[in-house]
Amino acid sequence: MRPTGRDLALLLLAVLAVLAGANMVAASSRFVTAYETYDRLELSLSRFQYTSPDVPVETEFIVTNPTSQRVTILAIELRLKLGVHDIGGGEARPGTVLERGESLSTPIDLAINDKTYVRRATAPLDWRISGRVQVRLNPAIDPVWVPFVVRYLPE
Amino acid sequence: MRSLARLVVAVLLASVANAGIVASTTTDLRDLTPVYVGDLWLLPGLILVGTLLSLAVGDIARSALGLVAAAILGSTLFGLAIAAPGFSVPGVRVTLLDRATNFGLLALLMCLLFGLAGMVLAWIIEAALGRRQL
Repeated sequence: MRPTGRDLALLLLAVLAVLAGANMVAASSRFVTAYETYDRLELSLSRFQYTSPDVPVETEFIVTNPTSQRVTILAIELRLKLGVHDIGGGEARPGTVLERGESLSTPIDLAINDKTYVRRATAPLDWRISGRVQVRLNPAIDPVWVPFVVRYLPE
Repeated sequence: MRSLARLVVAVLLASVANAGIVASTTTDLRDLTPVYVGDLWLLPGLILVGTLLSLAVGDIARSALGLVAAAILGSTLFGLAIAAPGFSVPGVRVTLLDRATNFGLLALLMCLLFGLAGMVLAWIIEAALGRRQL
């Protein structure tokens, strides 16, 4: 039986579907892996040392990579709040590559910009820290900012 | 019955091809594809799918129905590809479902409009070959 023009068109459509479909499935799978990696990163604040309004608050921030993916920690930005009032912050740009199970511990000094507000505040001071970590998983895709939950630190 | 089976196969293949072409050229997934396909290939690709679908099916009415079905199924597949991380990561579920809905609707419009252009191209090809009169 000789193939007709319609059979040829169907065959070309099948080839196109296989190529484009494989591209989509692979991309979607990598997309899922990327988001699961961002979601599983462990972020914690291991130290918080407040001395006085004139001295920056000393903190230490830890990022742990429990996934099997290699991630690059490009930046860590922290905001310091007293109650709901934003009084300062600090940042670090380590650019460190984390393999599976590795951690990055970064000391970050948080500058207090609104010193008067801190002096007037009544004890116990209601410290809160919020921030975000910029992570790059793959050089082909844009880095992503992973925000983390505000932490309540009673003095 | 045989032509119905051919129509179903052609629609399924065109759906996957539509979804794959849109996914390979969209900003979310483009950089994650194993084979890079430039943005410029989006519209010619969708026109090609419409042309091949129409040539494979033959009948105009069936081709038109097949085109609509392939556009709906293809854009749904594409939307699922974008929303996929949301099914395993609750934190991005709403954001990605919203994004998938918006881009899926856009993909539906593009698959319909440019697929129709492809159908017209198929009619012209068939007329040139003497199989159909315009």
